[in-house]
Amino acid sequence: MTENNILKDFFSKDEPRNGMTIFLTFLVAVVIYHASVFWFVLKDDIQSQFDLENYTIDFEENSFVYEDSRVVNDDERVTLEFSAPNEMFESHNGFGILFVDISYDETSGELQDRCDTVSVDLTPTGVSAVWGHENNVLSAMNSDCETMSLVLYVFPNYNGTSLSVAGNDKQFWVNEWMDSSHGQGVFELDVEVSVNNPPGSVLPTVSDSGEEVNVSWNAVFFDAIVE
Amino acid sequence: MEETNLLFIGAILSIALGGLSLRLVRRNENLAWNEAIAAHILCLMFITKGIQNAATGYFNEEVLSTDGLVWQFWLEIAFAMDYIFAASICSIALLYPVPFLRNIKQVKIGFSIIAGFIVFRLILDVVGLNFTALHIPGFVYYSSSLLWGTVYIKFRLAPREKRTDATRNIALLAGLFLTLVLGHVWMWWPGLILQSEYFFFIDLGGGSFTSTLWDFMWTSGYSIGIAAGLAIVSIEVYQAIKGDPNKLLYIIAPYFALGLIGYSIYSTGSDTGFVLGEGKGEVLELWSIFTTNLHFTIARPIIAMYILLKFGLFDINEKTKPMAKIMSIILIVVATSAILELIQSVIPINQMITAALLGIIIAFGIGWEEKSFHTLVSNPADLRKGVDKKWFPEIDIPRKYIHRIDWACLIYCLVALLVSFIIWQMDILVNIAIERGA
Repeated sequence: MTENNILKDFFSKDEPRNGMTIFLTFLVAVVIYHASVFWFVLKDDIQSQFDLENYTIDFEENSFVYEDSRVVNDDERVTLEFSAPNEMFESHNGFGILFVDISYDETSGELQDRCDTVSVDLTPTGVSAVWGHENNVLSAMNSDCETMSLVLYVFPNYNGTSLSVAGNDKQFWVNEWMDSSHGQGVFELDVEVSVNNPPGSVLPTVSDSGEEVNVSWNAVFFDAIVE
Repeated sequence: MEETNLLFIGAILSIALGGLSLRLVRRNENLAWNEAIAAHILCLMFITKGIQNAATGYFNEEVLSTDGLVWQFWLEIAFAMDYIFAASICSIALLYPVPFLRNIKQVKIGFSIIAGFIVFRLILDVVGLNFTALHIPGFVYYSSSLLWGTVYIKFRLAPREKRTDATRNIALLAGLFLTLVLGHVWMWWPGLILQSEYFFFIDLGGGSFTSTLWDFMWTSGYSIGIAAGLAIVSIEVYQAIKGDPNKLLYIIAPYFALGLIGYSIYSTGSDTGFVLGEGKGEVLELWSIFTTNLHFTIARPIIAMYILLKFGLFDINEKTKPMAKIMSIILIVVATSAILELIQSVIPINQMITAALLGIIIAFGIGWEEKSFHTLVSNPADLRKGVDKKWFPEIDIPRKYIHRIDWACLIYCLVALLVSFIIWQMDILVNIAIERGA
């Protein structure tokens, strides 16, 4: 006759109960052991296992400067090229920012001859850089012989200032700031000169026909120091 | 990446075998009521587990791509399918090999509670209470350890004069089901005993996505599973020494032996037992793939196939034999090629050599299958001969009601798809992650 309650069969007086009792006691003991280790012995370690480690990332900068100059004739457009040397990529974590300074003087030597108008444009090429960065200055123009400065942020999220980050490990953050693919290739700077004659001059001998433009390429490389 | 590929292979294997098995089980009119229900649920469990494996594979890919929020859809499907897996395990354990539910009233109440629990879990997910203690994580391990564990003890430690082949088979079957559910957990047993981080730091939710209580309940389930496993392996060793060996010892002993090796491997790293996602060490990843993941994707379908064939849940006759053989061959071919692919990803063997090896192994496998298949189906293990009839109550449940379990499962899967879609569209999991600071 089948009992409706199986527990009566499991624990009936006719059946040996030692094995079952030992088994169930063992299960309960292990569960209690687990609970005590979890909530008492390893409690702090378990609860702090996902606490995030804080790191400060500082950048040590090294620049590579390359000077170039070119005589640009009136209404002429000239393209100057620059590429950072491989040794810089090999010896540093990354190429951070490219600064380009463009300077010129009025060289006609004529009295009251005004500075010529010079416009410069750092045109996007296939080089990996943050061409759309909000702080980039990719073009400029002036007619007062002042030095023009262009800026291109090359390494994503790099602006030269220290950072505080949390989580992961030291090596992870070093790897985050190590990538030689950014800035590899040829940058192109378009320079255009428009000659301005002295006011009231009608003599052809008083005007000049072009200008010498000096370009200083300053490639800022960095090494990330994670502490 | 191999882990994700293995999940897809496991998905194909589980769905194919589950689907074909279901066809064979539906045709078997000779099963007792509890066997018929258990066989149906076992097949459905493998189909849904296959869906879960595929969803987890897609989830892994989406998380790694960090593109879009569709991962919520895949994660929810994976967990919705896990709910049905847990419920299936509990249902089978309540009925098979020995029914704990002994009359129609108990069956109705028991299944209503289980069905209600699945729906309750799904509702919790929809209302944004995902991954909370209300889900009772670890429930599957508690239910399987207690139900099958007690059945195992009862019949394996029966008095010598009452011990028959049937009692040994009941103990073997309970042990096989426990291996199917708990095999991966058994490979972490030294971690529990020696209070290792790789066991106690297991956190399936990853960080604060799940609470400490949730993590505790989950690993508590593991601990009771390990306790049951240790008890079984100790009893099997004891019985073998006493001159009454059971093949279960040869099945579960490797899991515990691998646990010892795994301890030394896991102790070298900082990852937990489930080595999930990126940032895991290469050795740990390999170990995890060749142990835990291989158990999930390959060992489980093999154990299920063995149970279905060995314990007569298929009615193998001239009409059904070809399909059963197709299933065995699918199992051999897919499992062999998956394992070889995994080996090739670790040891760069020439592809021509692995192709030849694959051919040779499959040829041997199919040759072996001819022999072993015949042995399995021609000599099914009996569970009742010589066992007191009180353990097998008769309940008259018309077969058409049992077949309705399949439709109920299909409807659940469709609802789970809808729920997962809603959760994805409403960004419920993303909001939870933000709220909990995950």
